[in-house]
Amino acid sequence: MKRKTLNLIVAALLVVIFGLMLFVYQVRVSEVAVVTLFGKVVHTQTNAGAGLRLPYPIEGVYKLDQRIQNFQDNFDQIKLNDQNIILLSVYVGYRISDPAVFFQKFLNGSIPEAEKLLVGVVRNSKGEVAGRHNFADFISADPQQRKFALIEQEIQDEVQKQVKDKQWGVEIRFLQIQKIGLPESVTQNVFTRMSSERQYYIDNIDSAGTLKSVQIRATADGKAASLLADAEAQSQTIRGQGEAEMMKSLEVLQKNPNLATFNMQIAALEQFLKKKTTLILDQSTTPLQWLQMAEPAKPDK
Amino acid sequence: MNPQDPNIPPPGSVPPAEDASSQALGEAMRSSFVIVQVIMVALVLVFVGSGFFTVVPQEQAIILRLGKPARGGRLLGPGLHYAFPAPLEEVVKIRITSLTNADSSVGWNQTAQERINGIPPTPMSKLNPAIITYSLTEDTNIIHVRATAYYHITDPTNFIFNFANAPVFITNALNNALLVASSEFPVDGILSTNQAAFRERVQQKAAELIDAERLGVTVDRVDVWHSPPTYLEAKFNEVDIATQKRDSLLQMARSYANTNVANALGLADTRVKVAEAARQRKVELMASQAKVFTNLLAQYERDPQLFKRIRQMITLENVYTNAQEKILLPPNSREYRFQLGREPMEPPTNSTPSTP
Repeated sequence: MKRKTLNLIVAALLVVIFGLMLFVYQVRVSEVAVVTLFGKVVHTQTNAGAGLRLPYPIEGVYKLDQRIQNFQDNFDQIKLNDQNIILLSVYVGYRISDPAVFFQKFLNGSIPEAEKLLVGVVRNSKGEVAGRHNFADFISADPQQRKFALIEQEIQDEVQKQVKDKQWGVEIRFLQIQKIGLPESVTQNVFTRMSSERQYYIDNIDSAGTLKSVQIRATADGKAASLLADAEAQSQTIRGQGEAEMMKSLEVLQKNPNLATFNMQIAALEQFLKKKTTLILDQSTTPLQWLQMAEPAKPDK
Repeated sequence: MNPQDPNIPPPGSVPPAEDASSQALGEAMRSSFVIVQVIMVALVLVFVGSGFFTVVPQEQAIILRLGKPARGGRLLGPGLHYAFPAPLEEVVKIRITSLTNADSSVGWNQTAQERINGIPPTPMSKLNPAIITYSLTEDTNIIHVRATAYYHITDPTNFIFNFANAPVFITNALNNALLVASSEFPVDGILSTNQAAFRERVQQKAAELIDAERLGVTVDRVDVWHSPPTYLEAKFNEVDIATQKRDSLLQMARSYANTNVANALGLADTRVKVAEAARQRKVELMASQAKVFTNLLAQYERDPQLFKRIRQMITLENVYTNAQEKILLPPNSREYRFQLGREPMEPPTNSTPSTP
C-alpha cells in the first residue's frame, strides 16, 4: 500500500513536470513574448513571469530580447553645408517597443534583420542632418560654435521619426558619434600644416628662450650695478658723516693749532715708521751725535 | 454456461499450460513495472538534482524565478549553489573577466592585437580612415587617443537585463567621450600642457553617458593615452627638445642672475661696512687726538720748545726701537750703496751695517 502511494506521487510529479513543460512558458525580465495561434499573433507578454499556452503546434511562443540593442554604423563620407567633407560613424542604441509589430515586420523578430534596415535609416538620417551643418559645428576653437550634442540629438530625432513612420516597433534610445575623420587626401594637408606649425613653435621657442635669457641676465646685471651704486652712495654718505663728526673735535684742536699740528705729525710719523722700517742714520743724527764723544784719541805722529 | 461444453474445464481442475503463461506474463509485468518505477524515481531525482550548479572563479550568477530576479537580484560568487529547476527558476551566469574594465576601440594608431604584440605603428604621410582612426582637436589637428575605463557593477539587474551588451556600451561611451573631449582641447593641451584636464573631461563625459542610460555601473577611473600622428612624431619631439633647450637656457640665465645679484649684494654690504668702519676709525682717531691735545695743552703752553723737544725724543725712541733694520753710516762717508730686492727681507737677528 505504501509502495503504491509512492508510485502515485512519483507519477503525479512527472505528470506535473511534463504538464508544466507543455503548457507553461516563462518570460525573463529582459524579454517579451509573442504568442501565436497557428502562426497568427494572438497576444504578447511584456512583463516578466509565467504564462499559459497550448502545446505546439497549436500555439507558438516566441521570445524577443527587449534589452537595449546597439550597433555601430559605417564610416560614411558626408558633404557638409560649407562643402567640406567629413567621415562620420555613429553608435545607436534601440529597443523593441512594440513586440507584435516587430515580430511581424522582421522574420520571427530577428534582431539582425532589423539592424540591416536600421543601418540604412541611420545612414540617411546622418547624411541629411550633418549636411545641414558646417565643419565648425563639429570642430571649432570657439565653444559656442561646437554643436556636437545638438547634431547627435538631431540625428537621433530623425532616425526615430523614420522608424516611427515605418512602424517597425522600435524605439531609439540613444545615438552617439563614434568616429569623425577627414578624407585621406585632406589628412596629408593637415600633416603638412601641423609640421609647419611645429617648426614655427620650434623657432618661436628658440628665439623667445634666447631673448628671455638675455633679458634675465641684463636685468640681473642692472640690479647688481644698481646695488653696487647704492652701496657706493651709502658709503660716501657714511664717510661724509664721519668727516662731519670729526669736525666736532676740531673745535678743541683750534685752541692751539701749533700743538695740534705737532701732535698729529708726531703721531703720523710714529704710525708710518711702525713696521718693517729700515733706518739709515748719520752719526750726527740726534741723539747719535753722543756716540762721537766717545771717539778714541788720535795717536801722536 | 453449458456444462457439456468441451471448452470448459471440469471444476477443480487447472489447465497446466495456461497457468504457466499467465504466471510468466504476470512476472514480466511486475519486472517491467519495477523498471518503470526505477526510471520514474530516477527522473524525479535528476529533475530535482538538476537545480545544483557551480559558479567558477571567473563567473558570477544571478537567479531568475519565473523570469524575475530572485533573492534581491544578488550576484552569486564562486561555489556550489542551488536553484529550482526550470521552468520555476533559471540561472544566468556572467563572466566577470570582462566586467572590470573596458578599452576604447577607435582613435588609436594600432589595433588592440598590434598593441598586445608590441608591433609599432607605421608612419604614414596620410591616413586612410578605413584603416587608421584618430581624433580631431579643437585646433583641427589630428591626434591619436585611447582610454581604459575601470568600473564596478552597482546594479547587476540593470547591467545584465537592460542591455544586450553592456561592456560594449561602455566601450562606445569611451569612444564618444574621447571624441568630444578631443574636440574641446588643442593638440598641445592634450599632449602636454593640459593632460589632467583632458583625462578628467574624458572620465566625466563617459560617466555622464553611462549614468544617462542607467547602466548600473560606476566608473572608478579612466586612464588615457595620447600620441601625435606617427608621421609627425619626430617633429613633435623636436618641439620637446627645443622646449628643454629653452628651459635649460633659462635655468642657466636664472642661475647667473642669482649668483650675480648675490655677489653684488655681498659686495655692496662689504662696501657699506668698510665705509662705516672708516667713519668710526676717523671719528675715534680725531677724538683721541683731541683728548691727547687737551691733556698736553697746559704742558705745551708752559714751554713749547722744551715740550716739542721731549715729545720728539720720545717719538724717536719708539721709532728707533721698532725699526726692523738700522744702518749706521760711518763717519765722513760720502756715498753709500744699497741693493734693493723685491722680496721682503727676513727680519735679521742682529742688524749689521752693509758694506759701503
